[in-house]
Amino acid sequence: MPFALYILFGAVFTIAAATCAGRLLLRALKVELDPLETWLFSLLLGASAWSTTLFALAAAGLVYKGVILAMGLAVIGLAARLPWPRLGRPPLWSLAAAPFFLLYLANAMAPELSPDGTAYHLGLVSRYYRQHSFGVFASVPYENMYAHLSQGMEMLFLSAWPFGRNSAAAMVHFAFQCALPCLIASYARRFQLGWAGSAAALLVYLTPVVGIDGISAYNGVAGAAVVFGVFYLVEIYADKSAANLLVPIGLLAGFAFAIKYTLGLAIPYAIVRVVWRTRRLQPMLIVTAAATLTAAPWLVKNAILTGNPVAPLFNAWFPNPFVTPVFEQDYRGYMATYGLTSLWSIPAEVLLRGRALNGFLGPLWICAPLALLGLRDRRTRGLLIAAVVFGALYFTNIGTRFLIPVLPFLAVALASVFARKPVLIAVFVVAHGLSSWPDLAKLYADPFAWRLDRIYWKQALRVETEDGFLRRRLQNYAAARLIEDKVPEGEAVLAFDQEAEAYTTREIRTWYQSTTNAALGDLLHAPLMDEAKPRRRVEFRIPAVETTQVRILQTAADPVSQWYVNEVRLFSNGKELPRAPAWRLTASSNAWSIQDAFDGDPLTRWVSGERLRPGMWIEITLPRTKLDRIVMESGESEGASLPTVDIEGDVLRRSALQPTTYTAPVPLRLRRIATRAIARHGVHWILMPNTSFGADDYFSNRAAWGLDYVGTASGRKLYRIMD
Amino acid sequence: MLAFLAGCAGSPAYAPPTQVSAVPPSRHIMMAADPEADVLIVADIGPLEGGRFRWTRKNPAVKLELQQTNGLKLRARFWVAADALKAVGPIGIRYFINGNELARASYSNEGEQVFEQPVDPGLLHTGANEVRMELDKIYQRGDAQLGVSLAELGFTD
Repeated sequence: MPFALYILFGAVFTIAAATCAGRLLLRALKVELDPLETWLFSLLLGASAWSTTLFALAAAGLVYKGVILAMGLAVIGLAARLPWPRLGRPPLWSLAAAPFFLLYLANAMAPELSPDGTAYHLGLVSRYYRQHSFGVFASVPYENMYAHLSQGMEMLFLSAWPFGRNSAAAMVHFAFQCALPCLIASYARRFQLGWAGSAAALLVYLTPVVGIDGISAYNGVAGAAVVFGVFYLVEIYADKSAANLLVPIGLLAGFAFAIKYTLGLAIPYAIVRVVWRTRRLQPMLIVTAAATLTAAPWLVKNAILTGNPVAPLFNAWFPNPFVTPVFEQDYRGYMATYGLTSLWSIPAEVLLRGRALNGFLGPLWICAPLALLGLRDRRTRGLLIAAVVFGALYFTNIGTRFLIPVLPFLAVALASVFARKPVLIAVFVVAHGLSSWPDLAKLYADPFAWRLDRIYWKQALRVETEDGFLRRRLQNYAAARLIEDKVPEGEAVLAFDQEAEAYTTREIRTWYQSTTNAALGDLLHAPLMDEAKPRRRVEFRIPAVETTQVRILQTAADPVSQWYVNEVRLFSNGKELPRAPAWRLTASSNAWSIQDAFDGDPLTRWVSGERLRPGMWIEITLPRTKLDRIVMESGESEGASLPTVDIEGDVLRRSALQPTTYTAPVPLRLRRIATRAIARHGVHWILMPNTSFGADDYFSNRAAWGLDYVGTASGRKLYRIMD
Repeated sequence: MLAFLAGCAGSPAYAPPTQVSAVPPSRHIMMAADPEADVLIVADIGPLEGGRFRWTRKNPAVKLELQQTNGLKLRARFWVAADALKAVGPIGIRYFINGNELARASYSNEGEQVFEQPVDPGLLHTGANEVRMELDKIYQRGDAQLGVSLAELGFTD
């Protein structure tokens, strides 16, 4: 059977199962909506239910094609017996949208090209499917912070992936992309906004970033649809006070959180609106309970797997071995600027250029502030308040696609302002459509903007092979295939760039995606950086004392540096005390890596994971032992650190001891020591971009590193660490 | 709430891990400030001064340990004093490994000098190796005979 049919089956099956689950839910709750609303909310509500079902299967280790198929068919079978409302003729605006529909359909069906989709959205989905679970019971936990984000949309991808692989998953998102303008138009019709609904639907649907996000295995457009769905139901509830809407409102608000943490704002939004309307506690409790059903599983999963329910965020509140507070601060800092030197360049990037912030809206969105003219109208005011609420976290991540959830509200509000000027609206929408079409958009957008460029029918139907297309179009695809070809099953690859994980079955450990991966990456850099070589010694000499506890205290503060310690050695009578199993080692932060400072390896090191501050400590508890010298080894980059020691004995406590600092020999064969340490962590393969720091040294001195050069692809060299 | 509580825990404590034994003690180079340096010094190298160098006399020598002999360079890092240059002129230094001359160089500028040269593995053996510098002249300061201010002498890779 042609592969295109498998793609279609995977997507249609998933959307059908979701819609049927939603229809059953609406029926059970006796929610009465008009025909189009019934279909749309069946999809949205059912998606929340079907996604949560897939979550349960993944948690239980039951992600098998047969199980998914049987459950989906059962849901479809149950719902097939219900009466389904008939839809009328397609609205006029859908004709205007048709060219874009074809553009989107072909791109969604074509092999997945999106950077995040091919890296982690689908990389994780394919992994879940291969291991039939989240890996709750796996001996090696995920060293990938993206695995800890809520993945409500990925659970829908997981339903489609076994049948049609990556493109089937993208087609599921495409279905939400189709649903969003229908939802907008339906909202406008219910609240009698006239032409505004059609115009707003087109404004959103034709927007370039909505186009490329919605055809990718992302979650932005689906999230926008769900958030708008919450708003839509709340508006109906505000008018009718229908108590049977409370559960759907809660389920959808919780699902918004399940799709993307930041969309969790839908939960307080819904609660506040319901409480505002009723001034009663019970409706709030119902909404909260329903939201908990779809949102809480992700918190529980993270609490179990990582120790941080909201991983990979708030790591200072919930310390864990996977992401350090320092990394989180740096990551958040980048997401708040994307490297832009001035936030004043956001408008031009968001409206026109589309490169630095990954996507653009089109120039006509510059008129969005005109929506404020509708502030005096109650319903427009509600739309604008919703836009403010759901845009409130935009400056935590200024990527253009993080504006998508705001667009439906702005579009309806803007169109409402001009509802009595249909010609003006029509001209506006036509101009937006023309400026959004790829052939015209390329005239003003940056050549490297994230956008659609043409209709890929041959690729969608696999007339051109997936492999051939991806080798032409996806920069890091060839590297993924090289890994698949050369790296044995079950082996992991340390990578220094975001890789196309969806196109390999091998585990990719990207250096910035977890604390451990970062430590492995640092091992490769240390032999090439004088300041990182372990030659700094901080030595405390004390009168001999019997003790059971040594605590090394930090006294310095630094807004940039962390505290790194490669080794801590204790001495008595000039001889190092052998580290005994009875010793207990811990630290005030990131204690999970404290063993790296006591393993005898000069390169592996404990890192505080927090900025240098007085009061940090490393603690060694040991059987009563005589001690007269303590030596800490680190790199010269530790210059900001000013440690002291406390020694606990029966009668003795010393503090504020002044150490001697000196430079000691750097061990020979540091390169080999580094790769051996990486191998000890179970990683025997390295994928190094040719432009990375040290790339030339890894290749020209590969014998010294103990690296076996395997091959080059996508501007990256693959090495195997020799035994 | 349970999920949030599950996230709250104190710092874990661990026993020392399996020790990495592949890294030998670093006795392939004498670093002036290293407290272990004294056991490596054979001749004509004085005590640590200023926390970072040791004055040599005419024939400073160290005995170093090597686990293997391939791909090594002889490295010496030292300072030439302005007083010395004024008193005796440019200083010539010959470098010896296990009694075999490796290289010779002349230093006519004051300040930090770094000498590095690859070493033929045939000149080396695993275990103890003697590295010696031979200065062609030294200068007198008070009662002391001084050569150069040595920071490092030994092998690197």
